[in-house]
Amino acid sequence: MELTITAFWVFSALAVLSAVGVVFFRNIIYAVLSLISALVMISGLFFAMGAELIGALQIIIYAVAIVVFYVLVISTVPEFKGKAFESKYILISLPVGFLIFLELAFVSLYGAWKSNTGIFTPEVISEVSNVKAVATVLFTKYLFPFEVASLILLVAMIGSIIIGKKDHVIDEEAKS
Amino acid sequence: MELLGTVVVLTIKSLIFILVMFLGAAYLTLLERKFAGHVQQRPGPLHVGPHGLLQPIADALKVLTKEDLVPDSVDKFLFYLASLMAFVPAIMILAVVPFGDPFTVFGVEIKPYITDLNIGVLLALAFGSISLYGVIFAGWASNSKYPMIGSLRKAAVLIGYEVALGFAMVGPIMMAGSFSLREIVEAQQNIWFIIPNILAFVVIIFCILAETGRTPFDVQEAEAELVGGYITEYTGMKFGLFPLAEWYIATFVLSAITVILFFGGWNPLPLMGWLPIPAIVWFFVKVFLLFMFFLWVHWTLPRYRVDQITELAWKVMLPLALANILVVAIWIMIFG
Amino acid sequence: MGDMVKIKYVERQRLTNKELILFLDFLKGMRVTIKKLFRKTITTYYPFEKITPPKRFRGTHAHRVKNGNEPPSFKVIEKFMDIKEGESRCVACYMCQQACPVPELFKIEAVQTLDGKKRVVRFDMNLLNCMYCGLCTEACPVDCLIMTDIYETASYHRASCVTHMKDMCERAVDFDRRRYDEPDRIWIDDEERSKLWGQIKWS
Repeated sequence: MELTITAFWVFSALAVLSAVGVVFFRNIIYAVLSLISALVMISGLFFAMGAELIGALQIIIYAVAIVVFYVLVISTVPEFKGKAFESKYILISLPVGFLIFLELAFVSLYGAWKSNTGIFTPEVISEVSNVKAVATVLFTKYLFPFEVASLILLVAMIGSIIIGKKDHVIDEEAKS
Repeated sequence: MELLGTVVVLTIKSLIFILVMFLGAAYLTLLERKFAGHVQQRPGPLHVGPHGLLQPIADALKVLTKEDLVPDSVDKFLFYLASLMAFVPAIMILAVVPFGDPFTVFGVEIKPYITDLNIGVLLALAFGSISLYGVIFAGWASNSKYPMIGSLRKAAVLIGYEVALGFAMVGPIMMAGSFSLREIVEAQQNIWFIIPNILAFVVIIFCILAETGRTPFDVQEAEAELVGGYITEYTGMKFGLFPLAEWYIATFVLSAITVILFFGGWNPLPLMGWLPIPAIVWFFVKVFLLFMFFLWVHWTLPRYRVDQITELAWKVMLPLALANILVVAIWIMIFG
Repeated sequence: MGDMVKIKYVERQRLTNKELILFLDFLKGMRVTIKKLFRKTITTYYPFEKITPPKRFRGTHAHRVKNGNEPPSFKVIEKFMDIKEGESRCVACYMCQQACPVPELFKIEAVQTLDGKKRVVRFDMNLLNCMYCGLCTEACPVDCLIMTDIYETASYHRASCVTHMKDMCERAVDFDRRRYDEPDRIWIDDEERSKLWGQIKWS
């Protein structure tokens, strides 16, 4: 029991530190690095709570699959441009950031009360393992939102393929 | 007190795993050099120790005592961090790979694995893909064009093959009904999962070659074009960590996972179960054979072009992995 | 410009479907490597095992001495030269220096003796600058400057890489003693060649 508490404090302290780093680092690569660190630490928190599936998915999806694209884009930016800092963006970002903060605060507070009322108590989960618990809920109660989400992703994928597709005119010129 | 005990035992166990892996990786370099030599009809290292047996130690001493140059215009912190970020995740996969069932020696139960999480496969995938950051940051921190091109190429390759790798692992997981590597092995006592999963096996072979940067897919180094890829600016041990992590530790660990997923892990070969060979030896024999297969491919084939690699990933390997899922689903419906 | 350069476009050979699906070309290559893996190695373990190069090998330079085997061109010029038996037959014609791509590496000096004959007193070659192209030996009119089969030229001092006339004479005597009677061919004999390169079928 003590181990999980220690782990919780260590992981959350590091997560908060990294989150502060994301905001305050001037160098954009360092900001992304601390973002990765924050995401990995949060997955550590999931592990400490016994939700290994969410923890592993957190690493695979957030810390790797999503952030890798940020890094790919950012790392092609020259270093001096990464350090550029314009004050006019603060004016836009402050109200938007405040709104997002409010929304997150509401979700986390609401979730803190709501999550205790589901059918999956810790005893049930220790019996049927995380994977089965998640799958059961996902493919019964939330099947419709799940399918809708996958459809939206599919639409987004096709859209990006169409946008990213090269014009064939250029190819024909090169051939002749 | 109990907490302290757990921590100490786990630390010692992890240290043993890491040290053995280091020594093993050192000798895997010798194995690779010998193999590469004989494929080209030359003997490989020969003079340090009997038949070159001490060559890895000489190499390690050489690499460790090299002057540790850091170029002037690199980002110092990231430059150091990147070599660790490529190396540590590769060795972290060891934490979830079981090497056998628990066995007792002199009344002490020894578990030849660090943890037995029930999501081992997912974690292995996660750690494997995190090492991508080491590559990208190495390229960016070097502040030089060849490392940058190399790291972007490697990132493009890894993103494509990570997806195919994940989908290819679904087949065995479906048949075993578990994410735990140990349970997957236990489910293969009668029939190896290679039987219906042959497509996934092909996909995984290609993915491992791509992930570890071995030849048909070694665009990130591509000596003829990119000097040394993202390791161009590195020297000394920082330089040594990249190939050590990629070519040896990652290949070895991913071979181990492939053996677990497709070749029955530490179950004996079919019809040879009566031989008095312990399970762990069977496991290492299989891993060794698979590792040799990768060496064989590496020292045979020329290099793909970058666009061909990503094309292969998205147009061939991903559909193959999806087809494999369909095949396995039908197999499960018919045979249980 | 476009008309001057003729380019022939060649269609790339397409793989058949069978080859594409089964990766037959991969398997072909891998069959070759696995065959070679179990063959004997063809290397020589150099410091312990040294191969004799062919006679035409272009190694360290040497000076043939006056020993009666001179070509006719030497007989013509012999009476103008002050060369004793067993000395270098160099006539200081500077043809080697003319032919050399790096002419500075030669230091040739000749003096007139009291009886009016020509005597070569110095013939140094700085072999650090030499690329062992062999043009100097082609140019030599009296078959004096030759190249031997000595290929171990490393040394600890730059000074010892400059070779002098006396050393070159000794080297040539040694080389001729060992290999003068050998036929002038690339491999010592057919057996040697087939050992290293296998049987070659000539069409």
